[in-house]
Amino acid sequence: MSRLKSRNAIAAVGVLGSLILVLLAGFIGLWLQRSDDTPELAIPSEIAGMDLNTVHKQAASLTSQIKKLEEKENRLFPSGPAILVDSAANHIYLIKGSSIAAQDKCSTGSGLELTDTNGLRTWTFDTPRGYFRALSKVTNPVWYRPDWAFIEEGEPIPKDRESRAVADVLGDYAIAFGDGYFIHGTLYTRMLGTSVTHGCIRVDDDTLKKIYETAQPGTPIYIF
Amino acid sequence: MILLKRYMRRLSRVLRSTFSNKSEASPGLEANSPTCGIPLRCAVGLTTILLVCLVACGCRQQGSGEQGSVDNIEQLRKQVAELTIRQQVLAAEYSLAQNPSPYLIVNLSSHSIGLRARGRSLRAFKVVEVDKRSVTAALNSTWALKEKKPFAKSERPKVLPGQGDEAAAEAAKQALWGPDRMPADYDLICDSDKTLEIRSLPSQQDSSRIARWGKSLYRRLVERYRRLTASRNAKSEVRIQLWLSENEAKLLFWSLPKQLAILVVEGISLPEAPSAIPSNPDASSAIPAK
Repeated sequence: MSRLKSRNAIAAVGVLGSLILVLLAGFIGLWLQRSDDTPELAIPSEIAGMDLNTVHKQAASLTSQIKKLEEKENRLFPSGPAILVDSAANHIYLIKGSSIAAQDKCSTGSGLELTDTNGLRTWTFDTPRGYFRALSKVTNPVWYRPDWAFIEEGEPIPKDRESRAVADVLGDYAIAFGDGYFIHGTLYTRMLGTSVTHGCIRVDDDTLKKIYETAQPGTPIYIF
Repeated sequence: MILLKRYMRRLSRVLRSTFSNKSEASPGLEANSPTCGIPLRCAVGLTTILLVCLVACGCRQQGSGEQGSVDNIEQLRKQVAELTIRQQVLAAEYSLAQNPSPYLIVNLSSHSIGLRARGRSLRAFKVVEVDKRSVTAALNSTWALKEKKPFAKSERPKVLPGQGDEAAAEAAKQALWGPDRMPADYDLICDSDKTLEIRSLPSQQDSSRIARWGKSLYRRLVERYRRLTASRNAKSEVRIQLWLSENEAKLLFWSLPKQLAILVVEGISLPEAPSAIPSNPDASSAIPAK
């Protein structure tokens, strides 16, 4: 008798448990339900009131406007040289018209963070994203070390500009694109393709030469 | 039709014989005879039924024709409505593309995000799911990104003062900075209390299918809980949630400049923009990638 009772109890608990599980699953399903249904396009009243003739005219006019806009937009991208930097892949492209004039590995910002000994100033070594323009071109560039370069080396920061000058570290050419950022050469060619710079874009000498010869002040630079 | 013609012929003969010239009536259809009433009535009745059927069919055909033309006009009106949106969106994009800065196009209908500049695609992202929570305002318009707000900040590798350039480079190499170090769940806070919520689902290549499903369920539950707890303090009037794969969400965060314009499109699918990086027809003159 007692065995029968316990069997019944187990069955009841099983049924109840299953029911709770089903309800729980349903509840979670409802809770997670998404609302991404795209509603059917509502026709504005001014279009809904149009007769067949007007609808035809409007459709033709809109199609022509769209075509014109697409053509105009296609012409917006510079037909001259442009520099594209894919910072995720550490890859640089020199575009000329509708072809790639040069492409190569490059190095971009390391993402490192440096805080000075007082804890007052912090630098993050990132390559900025967005649109820039080549501002100037320099042959045999000299690097004027900024404050962080001295702090990183644990050296005192000099007062005069001349004490900051270092030759032969930026390669043969440099193209400035604002806020102290350059596309320049490197001594550490084996690190090309990795994010190890202080924010500048380092490129191999051969590619740099090609970019330097093609780019002019004003050449667009896209970093993404 | 043959039946109808036959009955019509018969009817005309009966009528002729009945009402005009009785002598010309056919021998089988004598109007005066007592038996002629039945076939005559039958013929008239059947003809009437057939005529009614024919008229009804004609009306029905005419009705469906009218319905067809109404549908046609409706279809055309719908097309015009779509073309109007397309024209508005293209005009908005054109005005963004006139500016050299990159911009983002978020297409809720085609579940895609495109980072573009001057009408060319720099990067494209696939949106797995869109949750716009009945948002109808501020669609097909331009938003201005003010802030990228991650839920968890990426821990940057540190360089200590006096550590030196080479040690810093070595530290950078040890903890390489890249898209995979970016946050996967974040809000793109825009002007006028508008927010694009970027949320991540496990990427296809991550672990097994069951593990992905489990992770995905967990993330959705966490997101629901987050929304539930944040709803009291939520300021944003317009919130659109976009679920991307984890890798794409991170790459999007990585690629975005601090400020940019975002065009949010709904109701139409736009053609893909040509890539800013052309497939090179002049490969011989290019310096190959090393």
